Amino acid sequence: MKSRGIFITVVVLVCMAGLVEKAAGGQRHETISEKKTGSESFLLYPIHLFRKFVSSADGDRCAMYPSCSTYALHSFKQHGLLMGWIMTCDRLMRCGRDEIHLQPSVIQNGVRLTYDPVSNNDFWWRK
Amino acid sequence: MIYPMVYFNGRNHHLCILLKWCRHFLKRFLFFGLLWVIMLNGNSMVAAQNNNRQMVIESDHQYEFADTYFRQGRYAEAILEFERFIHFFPDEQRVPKAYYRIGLSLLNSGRFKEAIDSFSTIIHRWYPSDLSMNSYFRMSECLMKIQDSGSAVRLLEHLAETAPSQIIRDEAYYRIGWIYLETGNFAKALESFQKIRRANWDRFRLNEITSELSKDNLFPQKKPLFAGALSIIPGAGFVYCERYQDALVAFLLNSAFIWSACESFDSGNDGLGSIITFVGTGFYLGNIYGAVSSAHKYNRASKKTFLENLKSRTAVTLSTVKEMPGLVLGVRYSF
Repeated sequence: MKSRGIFITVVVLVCMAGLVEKAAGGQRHETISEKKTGSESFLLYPIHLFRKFVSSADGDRCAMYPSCSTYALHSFKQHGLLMGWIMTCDRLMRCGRDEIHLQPSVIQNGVRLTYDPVSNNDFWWRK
Repeated sequence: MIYPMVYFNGRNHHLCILLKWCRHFLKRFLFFGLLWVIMLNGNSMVAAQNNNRQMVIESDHQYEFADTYFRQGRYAEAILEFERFIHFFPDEQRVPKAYYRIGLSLLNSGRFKEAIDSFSTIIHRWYPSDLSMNSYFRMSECLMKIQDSGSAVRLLEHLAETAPSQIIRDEAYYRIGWIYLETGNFAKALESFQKIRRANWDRFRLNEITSELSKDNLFPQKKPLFAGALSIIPGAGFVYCERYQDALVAFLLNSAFIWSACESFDSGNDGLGSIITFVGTGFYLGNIYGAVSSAHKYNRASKKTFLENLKSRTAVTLSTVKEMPGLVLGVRYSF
């Protein structure tokens, strides 16, 4: 049972990784492109759905600027799906906690938010 | 006026009407024609009078007008008026100064690349005047603003090698040193400061700067690789970077993902387990990435604090070059 589970996991991971690499194409690290490819826009569809239906009903509750969903879109577009996914997970873990005391604030619609763009988290490896 | 004789009988009645109409038209034409000639003449006279009252702008007026805009901080207007001054008075002795003011206006407006062009014109056309020396320094500031520290250093090194006076060479080395400090190359910064003539060390407060830079631990730092390695245990890297809340969240979230994936596989829900593993892998890698990134951010903030303290303790007023004879210009150089 256990070996079958591990096998399925590996297969899923390999398939996902392949899909991610294919969607990210050759522009993952070098260039920043706002133009979305078909597969990329397809895989970003859940984020757009979240922004359109969940966030609009739930309200803006993210303590950071740009919000986590915007940050995710930026990181996917700038660094491809693999690094974009990792950076998005990192951001979701940091959202609204220690970063609030360490980064500068901005006022957005009368609300004080912590300024944490993608450039604040990739400056050490992106030239 | 002679009219043709016309008999008023039934046959010539139409001809008679036509002639009457022509006579009437001729009278009107002559009247309005005369009126038009009089008016045209009147307009020409008014225009001629206006021409006689045309204002002539002298170079002094134009320069002062442009300079007023500059002093008011209305840089777009100042640039336009200084360009007008250069266009209409190309042989004026203040043309280099106008170029310099245009450069400063562009620099203050954040149009750094255009400012570089303006300062470059001064350097090429009026080297080695005082303004060209100042243009070198302002140009290096523009290059730093556009994050091109390499070109800024090369420019100042060229000045340090070719400048006619020692004090300008020393200032160039001083600025190079600060650029190296900004970019984190402290050894090169020290090397550049060492090239300054000993007699000028007090002027640039180099004794304090070099003693600060000679210390072993200039500012507290975290090792990014070590932070990443610690993150094998979720959250440990964040603890190392003094981010305790992030550490707690990373630990709890990753533990939950690992536990739920194991439970799913154990209970035969392999599909669910695979999806949880995929999502959990992203968060686990995110935990490592976040720890490395946090170490870099810690070091960046630490270096910034150190440099700000150093600047506030050793700030000097650079006034090597006087812009105008008879007036001392004090320039506080901020990086």
